[in-house]
Amino acid sequence: MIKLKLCSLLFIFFLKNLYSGPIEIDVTKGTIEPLPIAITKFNYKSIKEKTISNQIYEIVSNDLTNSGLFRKISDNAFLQDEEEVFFQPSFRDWSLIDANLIVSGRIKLYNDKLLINIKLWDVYREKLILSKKVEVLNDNKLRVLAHIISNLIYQRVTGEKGYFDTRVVYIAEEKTANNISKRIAIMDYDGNNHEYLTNGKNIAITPRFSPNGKKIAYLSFSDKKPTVFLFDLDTKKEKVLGNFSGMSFAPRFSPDNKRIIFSLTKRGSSNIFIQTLSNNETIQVTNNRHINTSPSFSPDNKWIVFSSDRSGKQNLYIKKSNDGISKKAKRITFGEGSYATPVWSPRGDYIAFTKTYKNEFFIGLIRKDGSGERIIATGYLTESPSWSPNGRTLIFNKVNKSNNKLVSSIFTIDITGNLEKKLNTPGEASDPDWGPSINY
Amino acid sequence: MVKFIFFSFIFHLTLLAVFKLEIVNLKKNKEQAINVNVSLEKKNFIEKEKPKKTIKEKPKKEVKPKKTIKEKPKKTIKEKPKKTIKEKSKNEIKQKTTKENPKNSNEEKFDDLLKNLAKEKLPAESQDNFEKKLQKLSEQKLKNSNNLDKKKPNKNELSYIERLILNQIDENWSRPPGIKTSKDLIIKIVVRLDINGNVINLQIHKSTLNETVRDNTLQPYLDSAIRAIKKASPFEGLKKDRYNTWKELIINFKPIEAR
Amino acid sequence: MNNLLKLLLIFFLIFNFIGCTSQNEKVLVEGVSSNVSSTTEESDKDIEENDQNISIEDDLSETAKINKILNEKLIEVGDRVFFDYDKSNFKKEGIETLKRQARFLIANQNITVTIEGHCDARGTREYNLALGERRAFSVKSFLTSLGVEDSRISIISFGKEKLQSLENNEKAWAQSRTAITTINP
Repeated sequence: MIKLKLCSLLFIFFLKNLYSGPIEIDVTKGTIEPLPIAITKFNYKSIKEKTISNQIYEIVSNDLTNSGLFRKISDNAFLQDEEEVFFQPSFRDWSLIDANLIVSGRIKLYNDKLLINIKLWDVYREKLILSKKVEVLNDNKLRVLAHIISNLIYQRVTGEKGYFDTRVVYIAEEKTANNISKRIAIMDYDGNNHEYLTNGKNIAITPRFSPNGKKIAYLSFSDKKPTVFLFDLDTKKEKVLGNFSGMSFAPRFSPDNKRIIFSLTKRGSSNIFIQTLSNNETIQVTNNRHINTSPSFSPDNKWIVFSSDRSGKQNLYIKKSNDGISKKAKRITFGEGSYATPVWSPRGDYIAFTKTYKNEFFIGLIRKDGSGERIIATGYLTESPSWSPNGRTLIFNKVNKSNNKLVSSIFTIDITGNLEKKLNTPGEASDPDWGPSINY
Repeated sequence: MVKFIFFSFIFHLTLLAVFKLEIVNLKKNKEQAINVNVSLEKKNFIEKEKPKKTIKEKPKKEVKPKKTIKEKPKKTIKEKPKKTIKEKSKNEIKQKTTKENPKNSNEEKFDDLLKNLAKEKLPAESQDNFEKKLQKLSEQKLKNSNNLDKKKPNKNELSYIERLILNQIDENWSRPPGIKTSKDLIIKIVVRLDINGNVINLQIHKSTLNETVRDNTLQPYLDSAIRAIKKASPFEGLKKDRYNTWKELIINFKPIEAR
Repeated sequence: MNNLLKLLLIFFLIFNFIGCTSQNEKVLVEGVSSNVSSTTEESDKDIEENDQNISIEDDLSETAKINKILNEKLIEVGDRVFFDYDKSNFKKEGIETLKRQARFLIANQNITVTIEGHCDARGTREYNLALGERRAFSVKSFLTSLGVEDSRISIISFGKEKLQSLENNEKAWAQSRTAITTINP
């Protein structure tokens, strides 16, 4: 009977809870701060494996810290060696040194195969949150392999695809007393494998990757007339897009790689055209006496966004890509200042742009319907944003003023406007464009 | 025998109640099993960490409150009633459907279930845990009702506690920048505190668990939420004589677009 | 009855434990080494050699000499007009300059010119290219309206790629917002 009473008492307590429930708290803000991560050396047995382990450790460490999302904890602080960690970390020890995540791994070389196990541990959840096996034939593409490992970690922690195996094209600038040389350079996103693609005889600007990473469209001032060229990354050969009477400029590929959208001048006006690469057929998209330029396709190829000064100052407009000149474009920006260089996110959710207002420069985002405008970066001069393939990060050109000298560099920034980071280039840099993952 | 039937009937009912109120999330998951074990250990080493934390984070705390004081009270008063009602009804519906399944199932399925359970070696452990928890619950409840202030909390007190807890979690929540912005996405976690503000139990709400299993890309959010709560433990500034009002908290992480 | 209840109870307990799926993920990422694309590096070398800057100092030909004199005259007349920020109609002072230019061009029928449109550094690159074009074109239309043949004038935009002053102040920017008339060699 006592049992029975106890049980019914319990029951009543539960009922009571129905009426005065626990306090409910909504957390909406949070901070965006780099996550402290411990990266342990990948386990190895032979000397050969050791070199691979060291290389992977360096590249992965560099990738993760480069992303701005992680803060690497110094190895000196580690209380547990990599062998134990790979088997089972002592989470208490790791939380003492403020590690939130632990990367561990093991490398095995056999015959001509390389087998890598990666484990990612969450210290606060006290569990293994990622365990992957990567097996490759040979080790001659170790950099790419290491980047892929970084991608896996990044994806598990952020929920977004990694971009560590991508490349960037940009304009390398060299200023002398009375001359500026501008040439196209290409490099891994982390600055490795840097290479110049043009020789600098002619000014080259606005390089744009084709989405499949095989070609680069850019503007060259060859023979004094600015013209759009296509550079083939496999053959390293270039050719003109077409013979137009006016100046062709502001090229960009369609997401399906099949077309190029660009501006063409005639009698002082700039209008937008789309050329199909297979048959050189060109259709006109805008037709007025104003400046219509910097066109960019939506990821589904169906829409285009561009800047036009038809309202008296530059604003952003969208239009269906197959609408031709008869249909009017829809204006999407109405704020103060000028809006230029729109680029559609590969996710389709945002359009990045450059805004100038009262001699100040901003990089901002806006939705296709004109809502949600926000500024994410600013500087003495900021322009030409370009999206990372996962649509989470922007790369852009920023000119800083120091001692009345201007220094042009390229930066990356998270679309929340946090984690701005400078990319290392041999000299001054502008006009960055983010390419897809390297083909391997 | 009659006693037994009656006992089991009552037990059954309490189970139902527990299930409905989600005081104890019965849908045992591997994760939760770990968390429960952890929470017992955690107490010890959290205490070790204490000095470190207070040194580090104090300055921040002094700066932040300004913002939150202005903004928070409005929200909580306005939004609360609607949401809790909606969610409860949803959950009830879900539970109903899940409850019906076993009735329909035949003996074969039952056998399968047994086999599966045997494979995963879970029943023994989690049953233990469950019983422990029940015991703890009843003990605490009895204690609380005897010793502590029984006043019903008023609105001011509630919003004060909300703000206090919110501040401490918010500054420890490093949100993954890969924001899936969705108004519907809520990471719901039920937290139980001891009288010193230590997190002694942390449970992921069933709806959140289902979501994260369905959509793997939400895992990082769940990770970050749990991290935030564990980092914030022990919660400071809570009045001990009002333990009844804050011993259990439901924390909703809503990844609304950053700025 | 008893059994049934027991069974139900057990069932209930057990039912609550299911739904726990183990999350061991071991996925193979394969094929990193698959397509090794061979790059052709040798083929470009001859292009590079051709492109080296060759500075040849030879005697000026007769036409070059004439051009040099004409160029000096053009600069005397005034070879450039200026613009306000983000504007493509030249400043008033330019009217007189362009009238002189027109007279000069009508007097020297055998030369053709190119008008270079320039912008300051305080705009975006692609828009500035278009703006430079528009500036050059507005100068060209004015010159043709004064009787210079359309076919003798070509235009080019340099946008902000060839700044007239590399300093960064309002004065330097104003210098860079210009359209410059040059005699074609």
